[in-house]
Amino acid sequence: MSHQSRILRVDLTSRTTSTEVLDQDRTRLFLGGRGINAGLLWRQLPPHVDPLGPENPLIFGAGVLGGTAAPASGRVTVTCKSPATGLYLKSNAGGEFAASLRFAGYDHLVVEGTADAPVYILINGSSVQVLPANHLWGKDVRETHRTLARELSAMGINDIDTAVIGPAGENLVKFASIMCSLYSALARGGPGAVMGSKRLKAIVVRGDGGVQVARPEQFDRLAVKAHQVLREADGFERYRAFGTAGGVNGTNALRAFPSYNFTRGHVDDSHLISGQHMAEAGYLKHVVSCFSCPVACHRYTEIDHGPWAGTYSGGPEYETISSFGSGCGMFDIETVIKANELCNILGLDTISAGGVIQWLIECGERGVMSAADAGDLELRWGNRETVIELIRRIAYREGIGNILAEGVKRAAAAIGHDSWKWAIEAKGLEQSRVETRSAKGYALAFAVNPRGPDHLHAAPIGEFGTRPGTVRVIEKITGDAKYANPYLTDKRAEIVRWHEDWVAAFESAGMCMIVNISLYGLPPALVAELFNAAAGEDLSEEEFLRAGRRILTLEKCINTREGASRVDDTLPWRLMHEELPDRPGAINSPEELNLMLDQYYSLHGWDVETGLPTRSTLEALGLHEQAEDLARLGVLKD
Amino acid sequence: MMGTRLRVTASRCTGCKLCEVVCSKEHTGCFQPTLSRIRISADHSVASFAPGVCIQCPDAPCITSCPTGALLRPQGETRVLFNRHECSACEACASACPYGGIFIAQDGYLILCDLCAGRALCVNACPTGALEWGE
Repeated sequence: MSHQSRILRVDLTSRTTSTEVLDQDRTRLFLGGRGINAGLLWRQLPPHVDPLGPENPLIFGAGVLGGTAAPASGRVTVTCKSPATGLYLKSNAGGEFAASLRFAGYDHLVVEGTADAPVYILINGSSVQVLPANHLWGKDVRETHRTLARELSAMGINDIDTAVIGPAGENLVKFASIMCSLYSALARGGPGAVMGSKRLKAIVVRGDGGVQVARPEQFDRLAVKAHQVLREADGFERYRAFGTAGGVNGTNALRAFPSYNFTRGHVDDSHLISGQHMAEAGYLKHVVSCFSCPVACHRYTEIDHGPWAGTYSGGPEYETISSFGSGCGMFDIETVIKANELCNILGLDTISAGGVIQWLIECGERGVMSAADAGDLELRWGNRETVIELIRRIAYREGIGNILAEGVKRAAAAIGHDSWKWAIEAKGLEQSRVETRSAKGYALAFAVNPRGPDHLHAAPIGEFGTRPGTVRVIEKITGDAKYANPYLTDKRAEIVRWHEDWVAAFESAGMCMIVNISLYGLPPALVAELFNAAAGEDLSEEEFLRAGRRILTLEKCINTREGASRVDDTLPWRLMHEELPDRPGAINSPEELNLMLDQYYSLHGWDVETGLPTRSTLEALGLHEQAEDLARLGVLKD
Repeated sequence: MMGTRLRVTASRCTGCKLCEVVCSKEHTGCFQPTLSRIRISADHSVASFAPGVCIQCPDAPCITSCPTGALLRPQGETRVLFNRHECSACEACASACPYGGIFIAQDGYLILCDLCAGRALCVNACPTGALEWGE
């Protein structure tokens, strides 16, 4: 008995709902979560549609491990076309939303069409309603969740989980987030704007249904074993103690810590904005877990004195710290905590928000923009009030905020003065906070990521070689521990490809990157066994990873259909043409990137000239439908 | 490792809810928090997590509140035992429990921790020591 995924469809135009059960072969081929989401998007998204129009579906997916006791297994993926890039987008978050979706009896939720007035979706087991949300429109994320919890509790509906947009999503900011709590954001690529374009303010989900697994006794044994193995992972205690923010100083030491809008990879004061400092100085009040996770890498922070007294929220994470802290030349942890809180409650991706703000500051430092241009805000590195006020203006599209809300690529095009040269983006997405001139595996991974230059596609963290466990992973992939060196370009294609496959596989099963990449805490064989016991399958480790390969190749096909190709697999101009001052010769030169791309496409069996999948590769993966469609478009080589 | 009473340290709870799914799986065969004998009251916005579960307290006001004798603690037993046949589904016990350890199921009867016949799987599942053996 193999798992058959249950799809809940909600059409906001007609305000009707329906359910569908997929064939069990979808589970075997695409696993679930991100993988099946991608298959649904392939079938349902016509090419070249407006991402903020009714034809762009918003697809949520849990994995078959969602709602179970497997560690860190309750992740949710949202899939759609990105308003920032116009390309394929998957965004992934923790929290409890996916688990609750599974308790409600669904594996996926597909939101279609556009409502004619603000609405929210209430999923209470098999009861699904589209309800008015006029009274919620305009509220921030925190207030929206509290209002819904209160109203529904008065009706006897308790223990809800929500996915909410804030004012930024309502205002169609191109990097608006969908918040699954104040710790868990579906943010990169702007899925919040898609939700806002549908006038969908919130999705509430709960359920009394029991999540079953195919082989219960075997599953229980494997889950216990997985928890034991994970507990012994090198770095487990550090992630609980300091979170992702604990990686600030180490990244800085490698000259890989983006600072001052990617003009420097190393700073003297990284400690001031580190997870260690957050704990030592008393801002960290509690560590928090996602559903079923033993690590507790989330932070809960408060500020009780100073200009930002009264701040309280989940985070900040490493990315946010680099985005608003070092990226803006601002080594003040309180302002970073405040910036993070604002992004959480207004519903903004912290990486893109900080990215566009630091671009604007550089415009000011270069004399291209004045304080008056920005609406009476001093555009200087380290100006705290400027950073905080700009976040607000972005969310509400006020003044300069209206330009920034379009993302750094469009903002630079609007401002001119060659400011595109310091717009740190590719494919239209602001780069994640890794200085790829000091991390060549990340450079390749960022260039080939279908959604843009970011770390959540194939984070090859092992190349930093900072812990014995991570060095072992690189040794396993390449045959030699010496390749655990981020400054080398050798073997990066092999390293990236292994990470791509692994991430796609475990993410589609519902599991978290912190456990399976940052900690390398579980062997793929064990996760494959957990998947099998839950889904009633018998995939070998190789077949499980191959399913990951199939999924990311399908994602590539979606991008191909949208017109993307090798020319789009690139990095921001600055990183490719300006040397990092902290390390001699540190650059992601076109020659170097092209060599890695050639190797990467060859490994995949794709056409090296165009970077597109070939018929033979697609057929070998069972992606026949995709092969036919791309052949019809005339982009398929053999 | 087995014991006779649970000890809850709420400040260690991080809201992972592994206890809820492990408990429901043990008692009902499926993962479903509303069937769990332990429930975490959570407000993530202020990182407040409070495990509610029977801690086999000496006073057992649940027993004294019960009008039908459906709750009892035999000699030599630390656990409060539930006799469904005697239960009138009045819910007085749930109100009487100071630890939020009695839950009313969909059928109106109560759900109460029995320490998994001494194994208390939640203690093993808890990754932070928020749940331990008390004695």
